[in-house]
Amino acid sequence: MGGTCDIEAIFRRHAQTVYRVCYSFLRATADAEDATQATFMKLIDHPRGFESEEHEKAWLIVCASNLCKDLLKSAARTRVVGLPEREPADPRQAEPLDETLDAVLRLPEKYKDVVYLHYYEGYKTGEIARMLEERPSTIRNRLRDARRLLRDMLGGVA
Amino acid sequence: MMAGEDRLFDQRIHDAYEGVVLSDEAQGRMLADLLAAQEAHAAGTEMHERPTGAEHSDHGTSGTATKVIPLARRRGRRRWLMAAAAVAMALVVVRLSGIAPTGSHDKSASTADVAVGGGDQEAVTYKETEATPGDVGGSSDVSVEDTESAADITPHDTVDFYPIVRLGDGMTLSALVDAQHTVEVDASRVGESLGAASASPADAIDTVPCEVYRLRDDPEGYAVRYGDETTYWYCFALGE
Repeated sequence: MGGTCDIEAIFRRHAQTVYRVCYSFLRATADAEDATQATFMKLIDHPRGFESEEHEKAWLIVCASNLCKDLLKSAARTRVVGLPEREPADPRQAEPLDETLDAVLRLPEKYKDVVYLHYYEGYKTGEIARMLEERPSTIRNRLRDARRLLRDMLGGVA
Repeated sequence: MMAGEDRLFDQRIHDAYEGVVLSDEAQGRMLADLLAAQEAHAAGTEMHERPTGAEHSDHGTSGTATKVIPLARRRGRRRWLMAAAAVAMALVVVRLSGIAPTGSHDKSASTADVAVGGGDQEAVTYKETEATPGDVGGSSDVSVEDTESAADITPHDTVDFYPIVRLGDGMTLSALVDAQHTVEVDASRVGESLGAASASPADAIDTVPCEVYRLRDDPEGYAVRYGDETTYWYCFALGE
């Protein structure tokens, strides 16, 4: 509560996690780095206490996720005029990726955080639901749909 | 066999993220900036509470600390009133299409006294006081709240999650809902029920009826309500 937080310790604990969340949304190193820093800046601007390191991690993940979603929308609305394609033309997105990661990053926005939290961080659907303030059934449906999309994109199991 | 295949697939997804790594160099750079920002923030807080410096002045000088602007400082976001339905929220990806804003606004007549709302709700007459889509100086006679019962609209304190979109003259807003439903909003038709809106190219599958309202509290604010079960509000602004 009040005062300052040990930003260095928090950063060292969770920088990679926050970066992965940001990268999964923004798909570009520079953007993900900026968003990662902006996420931790929120703790400096508005210091707060956490019940545990898990609570701290969950907060950062949700904060990063929301920030990235907001950035994506801000970027989309500034692209004006006659863009017939749905994909925004962002030159910073052109980075070579392996097939599976590319498929994961191509998932619609609403699946990105649940997929990362479940498949990489190992959170259960109930835990994810609490973090994202969604119903467990919503999370389960999104994971199911994301899996289906990934299978379609990847042409089955490796 | 199926369970084994599933496990392999899950592992494949897990392993995909292993390649996403924040470099040591980037970490070092970020940490240095964060520590500097924290120091400046703390110094700024102290000076705000207690004057520092050997010199005295009638104004109580606040010292000479400078404020470090972090690399990724975001612009301030405006908050909007938004109703969140009881069902799962749809993420909205907004894309602008159409003619670029020219900076000048054509004065064109628009319909007024359009009845909005419907169904079981009491219809409210909406009067658009400004004739041009780009002119946002006026305020509407009806707010979002007027068109629904109190139970249907819940201000959401995370509404700044949703973007502010500025529509210029001749521009339309294409809102993609769940990457499947698309609504197009023409700013000149504010206040009208758009009914079955046209879909954006390529990926739209269905159309979703929607209504556009001008917000009373913000002369530049508009809200779109999708006429599906979620009754989802999305706020945007006119400008440029």
